[in-house]
Amino acid sequence: MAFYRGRPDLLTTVEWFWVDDATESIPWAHQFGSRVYELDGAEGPEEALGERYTPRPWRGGQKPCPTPAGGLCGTEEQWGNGLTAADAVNATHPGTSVPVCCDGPLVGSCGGLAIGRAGFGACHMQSTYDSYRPFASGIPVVVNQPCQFVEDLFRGRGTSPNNTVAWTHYIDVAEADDVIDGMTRTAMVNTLNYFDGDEVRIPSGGSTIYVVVWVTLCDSEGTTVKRVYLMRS
Amino acid sequence: MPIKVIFYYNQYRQGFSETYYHSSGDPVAFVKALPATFLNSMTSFRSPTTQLWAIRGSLTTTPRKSYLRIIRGKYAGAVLGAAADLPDVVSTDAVCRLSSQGGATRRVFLRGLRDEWVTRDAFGNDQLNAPMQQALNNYITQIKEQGFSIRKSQVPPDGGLIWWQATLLAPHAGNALWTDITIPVNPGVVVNQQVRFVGINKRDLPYWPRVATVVSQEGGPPWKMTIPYRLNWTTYGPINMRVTLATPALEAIETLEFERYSERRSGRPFGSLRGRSRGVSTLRG
Repeated sequence: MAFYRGRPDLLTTVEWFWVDDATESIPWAHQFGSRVYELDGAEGPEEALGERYTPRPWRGGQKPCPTPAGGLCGTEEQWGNGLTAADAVNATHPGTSVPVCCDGPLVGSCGGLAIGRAGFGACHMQSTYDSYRPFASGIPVVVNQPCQFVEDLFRGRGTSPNNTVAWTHYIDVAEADDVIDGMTRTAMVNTLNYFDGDEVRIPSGGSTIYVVVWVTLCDSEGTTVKRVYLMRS
Repeated sequence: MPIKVIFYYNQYRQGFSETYYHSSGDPVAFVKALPATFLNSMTSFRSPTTQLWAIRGSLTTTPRKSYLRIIRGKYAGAVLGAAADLPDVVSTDAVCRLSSQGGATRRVFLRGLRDEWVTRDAFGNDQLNAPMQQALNNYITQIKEQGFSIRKSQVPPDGGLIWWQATLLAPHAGNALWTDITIPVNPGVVVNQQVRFVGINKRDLPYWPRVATVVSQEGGPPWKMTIPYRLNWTTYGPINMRVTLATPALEAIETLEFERYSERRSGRPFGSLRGRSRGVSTLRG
């Protein structure tokens, strides 16, 4: 989703889901709705604002977390013509990412400021990676393969008071790439035991090291990829 | 700048929608101003369990701003009595044909009906009973009064149907979400025109649009036109795909003709990417 006026390069990942019946709607016309409802049988050109053209994987629409049902954030100008980098950033309810202009529920709510997730100067980039097994062994398993590198500290972080971090970044790599995590499970126990997975260096040949936390297959814009969650080492 | 108006209905937490077009250029003002008389006419022939839940108005050209008016069941089928109020048990649609003065037609599938009003004669022919007929008369009167239109595709746009053979598909340089379509002759298509396709291999090209807007073009030979589609092939060809121009236009709805009842589920559930997505719009004569 492009939220920023004149900055089509600043994109924010959005997740669509069904809201409660009582949820308020935006009282103005805007371009930040799902393009599923705007196709008219034809995919039009991408616009300066709004959802980018991508295949839309369907996942059922369940709410990923409690969501605020009321409160109006933003102005008619911002909804109609997009945000600018100079716009003031809303304060958030303490200990949450929910702006104060939104009502509760607050505990466990997700979402938040578009500016925070768009991350001026951060987030998505095409890169390359190497992987080594086991961690710090120096034995390469994958060398100089392409990846989509994403900063993801916001979702991977813990919440107060623990503030633990589960992952800091992830990369999407080809489904066939050989990258594994080190998670195990003890029989009859429904928790996972953490152990270092492969060592990953991004970009390929670089000195920045990450440890593989978790590996899963997922659908990314219509293509099956291997998503490798990483913690900066 | 025409707008698309979608009416969202709710029946027992199941959703369906109906889409119409209007020449108004302001989705907010238009949707807000739809009168109660009209909204009642959209629901009166349906079961009381069928509620008009929301109306969405969207500009159909850039910038495609939209506005959603949530009604939350204020308008629903009138309560007439126990038997007449029973919701339809097999999701039967009243299949109707909307026509414009210019001869464009479009089928609408009216859902959420009253079970008692869905009738069939002794020979198995679907029949409109008197209250259903009166309700549909009221519905089309209001549709006309509000000035709703059919959106038809002008085929052919210039009096002669010209199909161009596409020979190769390839990702657009610099934008992997676009696809270049190579054509050996000059199609004369410019950016923002719409094109229609036949001969799509749905297995190899999933979700290839039936109609798409040209977002870039390149002179030839060979000539190229580009549409928004993420191609999962390095190149794809030779192909048996043909392309022609498709020019959308609005024509005011003039008449409604009841065709039959259909027991197939039709219409697209909210957000579903599969299944029936729209009525068919054609030009007759």
